[in-house]
Amino acid sequence: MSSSTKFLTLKTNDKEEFVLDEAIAIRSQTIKNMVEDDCVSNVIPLPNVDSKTMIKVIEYWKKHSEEGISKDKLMDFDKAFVKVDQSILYALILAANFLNDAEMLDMICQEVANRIKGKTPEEIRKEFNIENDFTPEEEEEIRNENVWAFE
Amino acid sequence: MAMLLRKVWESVSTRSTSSNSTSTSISTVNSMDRFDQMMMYIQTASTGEFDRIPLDIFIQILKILGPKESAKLTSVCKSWKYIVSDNRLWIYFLQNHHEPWDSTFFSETHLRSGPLRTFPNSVPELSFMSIYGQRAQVPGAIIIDGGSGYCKFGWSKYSAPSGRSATFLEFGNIESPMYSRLRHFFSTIYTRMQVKTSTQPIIVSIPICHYDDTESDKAARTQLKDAIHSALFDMNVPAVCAVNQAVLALFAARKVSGIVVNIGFNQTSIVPILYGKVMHQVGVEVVGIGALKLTGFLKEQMQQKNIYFGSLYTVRTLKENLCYIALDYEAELSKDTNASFQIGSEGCFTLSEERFKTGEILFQPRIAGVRAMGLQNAVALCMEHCHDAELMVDDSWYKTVVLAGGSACLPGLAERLEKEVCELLPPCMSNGIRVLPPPYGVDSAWYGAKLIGNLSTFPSSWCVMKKQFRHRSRRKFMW
Repeated sequence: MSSSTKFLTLKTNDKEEFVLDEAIAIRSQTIKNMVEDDCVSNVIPLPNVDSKTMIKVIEYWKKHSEEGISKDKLMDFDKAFVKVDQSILYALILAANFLNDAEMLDMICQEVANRIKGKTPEEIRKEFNIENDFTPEEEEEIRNENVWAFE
Repeated sequence: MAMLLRKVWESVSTRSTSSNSTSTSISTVNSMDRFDQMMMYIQTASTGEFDRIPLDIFIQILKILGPKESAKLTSVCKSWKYIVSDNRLWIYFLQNHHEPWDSTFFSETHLRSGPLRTFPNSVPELSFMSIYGQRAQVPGAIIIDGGSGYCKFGWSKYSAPSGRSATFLEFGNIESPMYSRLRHFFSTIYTRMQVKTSTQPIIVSIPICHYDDTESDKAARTQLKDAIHSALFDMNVPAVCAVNQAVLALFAARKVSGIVVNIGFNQTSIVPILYGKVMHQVGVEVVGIGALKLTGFLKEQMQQKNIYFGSLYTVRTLKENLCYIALDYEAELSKDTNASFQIGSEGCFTLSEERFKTGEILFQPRIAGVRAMGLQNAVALCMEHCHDAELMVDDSWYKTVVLAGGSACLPGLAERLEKEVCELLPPCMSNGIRVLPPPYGVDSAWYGAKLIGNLSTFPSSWCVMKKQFRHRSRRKFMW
């Protein structure tokens, strides 16, 4: 490891600390801006991210920073990466949004879209644990208004 | 792009929420209101764990899902319905549609309620989600724009006309209300398109003729329109929308009021249009120079110079590729204007001053020995009539001039006409005059018809149905 490598300490909201190569950490636009604005002391607090999620994020960053990794391998990694519970996926969205990592956010949004795609409204409610607050008449009316989408 | 969207959003919310006020500050407040409302909605209604996702990310997911999947989500729960119905999302989908967004926006805001007579006082709140859905379900229409020279035909769902034919050669004058000729014309085009007449509505252009405000011309116009309707309904067409060619060309330029200068095959018409209606009472001006005369004059000049050519088609091709309009004719004469064009097997043709002298006859007809008014005088005269007619409180409606017709594509025509007309009129009138080149070249009227054919409210808002027509003509006989 070259002597010029700088390390940053990231502190999640449950007080866990992660020491990370700066070159990797600045995949987050939020952290990058802080570094560039020189407002970084020793520890960067991440009040919106918990340690469990941060471990996943760092796993993703490290894989995507590996030198010479093939596109196919990355794709396989991404596929496996998003195969997680709904709640972890939401946490990852919020983390990616806060850390401002557009690439990761896009990938997770795509995954959420995939989980919605092709399902009936009833299946979607089940999948995302959403309560149906329409009366049967209201639901019928909405379907009639958007017949073209249900064809 | 983001700026444009914001502007559109503001204009939409201005229309929908405050009909009197158009100030941007108010509209911004309104859109903020709606945003707050939405946030409140989301916070109060539970969408399970999903409501942890920030709204802008939810919208991003919807954009990935696309229009059809998104529309389905309206029936999941109330808060999702609220989020999915957001106009901004559907404006985004419409923007990424194959139809140009500004045309879609223009037609849905100005043309959706059918042929206009007066300007609607209040525009109802538009839901772009339902507009999207309705547009997706609109049946395709046949569009036939029969010019006196060339006819352009095709499908409203296609991006361009699928065929053309030389009307003047094949059908003769289709501007007179001769039932048999019109029927022959339409059935030939249907055969050429290989489509059954009974399957879809049709939009046809009514040629610009019988333009005077006299009783006889009025009767002739009605007669022509009736003949078109009769011919088509007798062929079992289910619905017919017949609109003046100049009006269609104006729509193509995304305007409902203005002056259309149509350089036709035989003549040039200057047509004042207010809210989609030809102002015959103001007066349509006509100059007896058209595409045919321009080609003919170029031919004469080439003969004088002993330039040999195969046919009039060669001359026309040269006109289309080498000719232009000089901004300052006298100055252009002293310039070196040589240019060449290669025509297939016929070889290379070189023209010089003929290049701009040809189009100059529009402004100075006497160059070609024609006794007629110059185009600039005719347009200025039309504007004076519009001004004197005092149809509107302000004069801005006639200050947009839209060029139409094949020969109007000559480069430089718009600039020259604008300059000349402004010089002719007093400053109070010339202020704000804009001359626009043909929005879609030769096919302006066809594209104007396409806007109508793809409207969310088509065909019912614009078409006469077979039953209606029969009923109406029966009533006429009774009187």
